[in-house]
Amino acid sequence: MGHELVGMSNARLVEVRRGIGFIFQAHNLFESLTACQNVAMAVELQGGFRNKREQAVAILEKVGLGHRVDYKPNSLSGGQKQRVAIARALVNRPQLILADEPTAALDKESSRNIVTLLQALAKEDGCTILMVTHDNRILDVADRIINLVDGYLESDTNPREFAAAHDPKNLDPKMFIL
Amino acid sequence: MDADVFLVSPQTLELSTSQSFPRDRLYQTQSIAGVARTMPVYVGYMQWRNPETRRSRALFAFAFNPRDPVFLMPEFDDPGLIAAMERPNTVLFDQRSRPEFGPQTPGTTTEVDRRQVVIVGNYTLGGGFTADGTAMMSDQNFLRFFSPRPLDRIDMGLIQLAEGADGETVVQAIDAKLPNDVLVLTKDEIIAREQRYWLIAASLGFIFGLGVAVSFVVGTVIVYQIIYTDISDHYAEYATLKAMGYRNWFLFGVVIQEALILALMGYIPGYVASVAVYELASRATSGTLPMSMNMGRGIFVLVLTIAMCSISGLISVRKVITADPAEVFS
Repeated sequence: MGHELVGMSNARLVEVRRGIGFIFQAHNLFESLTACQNVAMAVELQGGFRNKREQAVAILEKVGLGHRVDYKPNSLSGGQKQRVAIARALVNRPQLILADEPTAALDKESSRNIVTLLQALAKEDGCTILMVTHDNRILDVADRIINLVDGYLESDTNPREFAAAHDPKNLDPKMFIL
Repeated sequence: MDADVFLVSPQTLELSTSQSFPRDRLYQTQSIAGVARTMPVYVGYMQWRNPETRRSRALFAFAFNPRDPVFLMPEFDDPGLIAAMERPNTVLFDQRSRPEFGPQTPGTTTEVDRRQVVIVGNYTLGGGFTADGTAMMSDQNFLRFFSPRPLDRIDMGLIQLAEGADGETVVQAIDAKLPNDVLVLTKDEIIAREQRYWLIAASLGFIFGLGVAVSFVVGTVIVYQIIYTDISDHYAEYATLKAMGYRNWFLFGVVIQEALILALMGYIPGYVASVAVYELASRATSGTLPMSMNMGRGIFVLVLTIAMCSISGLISVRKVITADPAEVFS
């Protein structure tokens, strides 16, 4: 976005944060608010006080939670909570979404749903998603994979090359011999 | 007491420890225009013996000429009561005196300072910080009970003004005429003087004031603990708000809101409880201690409560303000 973040003033930092959607490993929803209100909290940031509910409901329907609009996080499943969190991150159409292990606490099916959903919505809005993950079941949705090992860049490829490089058939049998 | 202007000795701190001054001073005022009637009042403590337990206890006594309308109470409209007061060795007994003084029914005979005394009537006044019970008697009986005190030294002079007379000018005229061995006060002034004594000069008022100050400090600390704990519990949520791009001002507002809610929710049961304590205290003293929950006091405490919670909120909000969202989730 063309800004140096380090040493930025507090007020500028707030501006930058408003242009970024966050998805956390733990969903970090507000327990005392319903799904809709959780999303509306983000809408308020852009000053959309009047139609915040409509906006929130619309995005919740997109993530497939139209029937859970007025449920509190406690009565939602893990996948549903994460989808509310995604709705919250997407509702302001940010340029960048930072996702920190969004599928870590989810089973295979929910993980798959969530990443495909993220991918579809991102394509629709034309935003960038930067996802950090250990979950190799969802790697195929990525357009670019950067492999970090112990803080060093190991590879920077697209999914096809990445899969080829990690195909067990190509592994050197010697690495299993001590 | 039914009077417009009061004369007391300048050495008198409050009514029950009055110093006496010459009765002549009171008579001198009669020549001043606007003075309608003057009434001397004597006060003193006497040892009242409970006729049942035979224990003596200090009783506060007022004495005056029974024909003077000194007190405003309806009981004194009865001429029979006045006549009874004029008989030797009689007193009127305060129905609100503490029960330790024994029976209060008219006709009860007991002893005061080795002298027989008969209760000939009752009235309703009530004691205070200094007196557990009161009695009233004629000046002639005062002479008997409080011998060797002479009647020409009085504790308080009451002056009733003629209709239409201006209190301030009469007070100034009296003040100018009398030497400075007496203090001339209007009714409002003497009430204020008594209250000031109890609130400021006496240790009693100071202790209550100190109590308020200490509870304010303790309350601030407790509320700080509550809010701080609550912030810690919801730290992740505050950090999320911050990560979403909410300004510090918003978090500030949330914490202050919480403090205000806490203040109001604490104030309401506190108010009810203190009204109950007031009631309890006034029952314990048979409704005689001048204690009341008035509007001003209630609002003052409400303001203190809100200030207390806001200060606590402001102290504890620092944790949120300095929170770096990136660090909370690591």
